[in-house]
Amino acid sequence: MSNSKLYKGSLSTIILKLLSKEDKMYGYEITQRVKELTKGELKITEGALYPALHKLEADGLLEVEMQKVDNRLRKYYKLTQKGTTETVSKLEELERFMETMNGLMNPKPSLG
Amino acid sequence: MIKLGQEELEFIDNYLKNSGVEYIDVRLEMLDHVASAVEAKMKEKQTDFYETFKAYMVMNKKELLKQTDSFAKESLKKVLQMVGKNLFHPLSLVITAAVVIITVVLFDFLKQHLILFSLGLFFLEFVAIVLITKTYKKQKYLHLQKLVSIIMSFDYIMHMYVLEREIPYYEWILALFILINISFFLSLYQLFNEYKKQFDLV
Repeated sequence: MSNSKLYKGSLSTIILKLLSKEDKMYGYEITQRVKELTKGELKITEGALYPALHKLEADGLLEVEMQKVDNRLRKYYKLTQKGTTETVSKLEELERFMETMNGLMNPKPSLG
Repeated sequence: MIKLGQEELEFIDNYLKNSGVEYIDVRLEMLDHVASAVEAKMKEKQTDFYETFKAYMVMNKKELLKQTDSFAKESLKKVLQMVGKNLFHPLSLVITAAVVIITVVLFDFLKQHLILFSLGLFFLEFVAIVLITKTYKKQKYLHLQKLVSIIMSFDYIMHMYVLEREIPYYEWILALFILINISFFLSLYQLFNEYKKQFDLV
């Protein structure tokens, strides 16, 4: 992941979220979708993306499907049942984290 | 839309192989990633394949090759999980129970021929592993290779230091050894089928 270490801890959640919106995606497609959604702000490198995908697969959150496309094999990733459940809880966790950070960064002035 | 031809794809594949990415299951995914990125750049910058590929590798080779180590780590986790799960497979339990019964019945005879018995088992395992791994298209597959190296190391240690000696509770240690081995072979069979399903398209 290029620009910031802050994004690093959220990479799995980003992948799970993207896959929850699509039936299946392949590695390069994920990097391009993130780049497009963040208007180039976030660039996921190969060295960060594939270890995260392989870990999610080994943990049983993703399953793979191979397809022959343009004379080569393409490995597609899709959410498993466990992955779908985990996505919901990871997103809730991320939301709580963002609320906490927001509270810390923009504290409301106390009335007392 | 620019699409790379067979010759260009083979060029990338050979380049990755020569860069140390020896396992086909790791390399195929990298090949698709590099090919997709190169196609997109060729379209965007209107450059030829070799020029684009060279520029891509200068920028990304280090990042690209970083994933091989992590894949090996996840592979170890995956195969150990498979073996652990297969310890409780009905087939593992039935065969182990049968072997234990036979061993208990024949134990007095086996005791006199422990080395022969142990070598016989080792030979059978070796033949089975060679047959399974050599039958598949002469390619190296990471999970398969990892599992075979674990089986061979485990069996070697057991034969060298445990099974060839007359030790207390021999039948039970043998039963555990057989159970673990059956679980290994079931995992090998499952992996083989998984690869067959995924890579028969190659």
